[in-house]
Amino acid sequence: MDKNVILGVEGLNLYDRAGNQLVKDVSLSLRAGETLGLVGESGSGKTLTLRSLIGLLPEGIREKCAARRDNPNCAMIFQNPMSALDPLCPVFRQLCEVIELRQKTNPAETRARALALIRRLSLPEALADTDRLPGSLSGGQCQRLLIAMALSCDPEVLLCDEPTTALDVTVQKQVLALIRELQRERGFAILFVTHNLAVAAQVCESLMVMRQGEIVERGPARRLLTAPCHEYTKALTGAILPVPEREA
Amino acid sequence: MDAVLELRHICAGYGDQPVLEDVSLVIPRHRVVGLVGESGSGKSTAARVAAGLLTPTAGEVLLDGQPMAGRRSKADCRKVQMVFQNPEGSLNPKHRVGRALEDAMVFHGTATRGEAREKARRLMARMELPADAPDRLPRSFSGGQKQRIALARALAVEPELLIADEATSALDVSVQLKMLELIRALKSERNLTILFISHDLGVIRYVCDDVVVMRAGRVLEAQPADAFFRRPQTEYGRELLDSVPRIDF
Ligand SMILES: Nc1ncnc2c1ncn2[C@@H]1O[C@H](COP(=O)(O)OP(=O)(O)OP(=O)(O)O)[C@@H](O)[C@H]1O
Ligand SMILES: Nc1ncnc2c1ncn2[C@@H]1O[C@H](COP(=O)(O)OP(=O)(O)OP(=O)(O)O)[C@@H](O)[C@H]1O
Ligand SMILES: [Mg+2]
Ligand SMILES: [Mg+2]
Repeated sequence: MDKNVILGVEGLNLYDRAGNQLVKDVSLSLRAGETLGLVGESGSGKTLTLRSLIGLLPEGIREKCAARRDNPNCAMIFQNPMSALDPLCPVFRQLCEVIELRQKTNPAETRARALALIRRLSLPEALADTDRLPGSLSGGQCQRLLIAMALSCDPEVLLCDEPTTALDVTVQKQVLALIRELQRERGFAILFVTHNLAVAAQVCESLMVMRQGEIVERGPARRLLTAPCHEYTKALTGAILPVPEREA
Repeated sequence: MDAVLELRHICAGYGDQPVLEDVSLVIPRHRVVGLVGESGSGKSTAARVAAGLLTPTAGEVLLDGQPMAGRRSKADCRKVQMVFQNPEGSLNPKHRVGRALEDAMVFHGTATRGEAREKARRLMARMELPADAPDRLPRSFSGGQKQRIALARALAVEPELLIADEATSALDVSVQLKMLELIRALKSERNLTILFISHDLGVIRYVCDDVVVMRAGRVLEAQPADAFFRRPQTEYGRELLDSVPRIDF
């Protein structure tokens, strides 16, 4: 593997307990500061591929690969925000714990950093004083908390699995702008899984399309979305439900 | 107008924290009403009130014209089925997923134990789930597969009103389109009425007859979908439409 690759895998195969192949010969690699998008069929193996990259495969999944480059400094925003948070620990405390652990900050500094993130993600500031359990937040609030936790790790690679599905479009716009701004500041690489092809177009330089465990097409985001080659990519771009501009 | 469900001047919240303030919402029979708006504005909370899972502190809920007070009868419970935003939460991790559908059908009397298995299998196949899906445990499914299971479970008991809270957000656009077409087909087959909560305005435009916009616990505007997408009545409605991500190279 190229020495500039900071996270990657070659020829990844994943199998379930019964021996069914879930992911077939997937190769992908990230360089510093790069943004790569992974789109495709529901159930095609996107989440499992991400989990394999960070060494967090679910129990019972077997893995084989030709080569891999691990990176200890990854942060992942998991697909289902409500179940990714510890349901018994108040959210502001969870955020503070991550900051303290990863940044080795003192309590005052930890709190200040947590508050700054809460503000930047338009979460209720009141959380800092009256902390609440994840179950008492809305879906989008949980998702933003996970994003805050991932960003607070100051990662080299940020893996995002459907990070904005629970956000309304105005908050989504802010959150994507924030992620890109921090990426410019800190230079982390992003692997971005999304079903929203317009979001993929805005965030990613290059895209990979997955179907039934395999990468069927890859290329620059613009080319892939405007002139797809593979039949499946064509079907996907053809299924986008547009919102026309409103009347002025 | 014949409404399946109506919220009249509803106030509701959690503990001493108010969330909904004077929310009124009409869901006319055989229509699809889209509920959109700010994250944290109270869409899921309004859905819980409509489904009878949260008791309002003020206002009235009418189901088929009847005011609902106190616990709902089993028959009323069947009429309103909800697909939750977090599909994991509504599936027992220790049971094969087919059983969730079968138990629901038997409980609500829409199938006998003997018929339930076959009916569950057919419904899950229509959701484009793998053939062995009914016999697998929830954790072995992808995010989008779990969403389709939750949708199948809700439809299995043949509700009058389906409340879908971000029910297609984890689906790729091509499967999503198939699910939306299926929902539309079921709507005519079964005379279904739907409250459809989503952040995806393309989806809302495709399936909804009416659009209701919420922000900070209040309804800001409600109008037919085509009118909303042409001329939103509020500043926030315009902001929403202008923030939709578009592919423009
Ligand atoms: N823990 C598990 N055990 C067995 N099979 C699994 C497990 N997790 C996922 N699978 C299966 O592996 C395949 C890939 O799942 P994965 O979650 O990676 O899909 P995905 O591309 O992320 O889909 P989605 O877009 O719906 O989230 C699916 O067919 C799923 O049923
Ligand atoms: N169980 C709960 N206890 C206390 N507060 C809650 C609870 N559930 C939700 N809330 C609060 O009520 C408000 C409305 O939440 P709700 O889940 O209805 O929002 P939503 O419009 O569905 O948002 P999203 O689009 O992010 O899902 C939020 O501020 C949330 O923090
Ligand atoms: Mg996934
Ligand atoms: Mg919600």
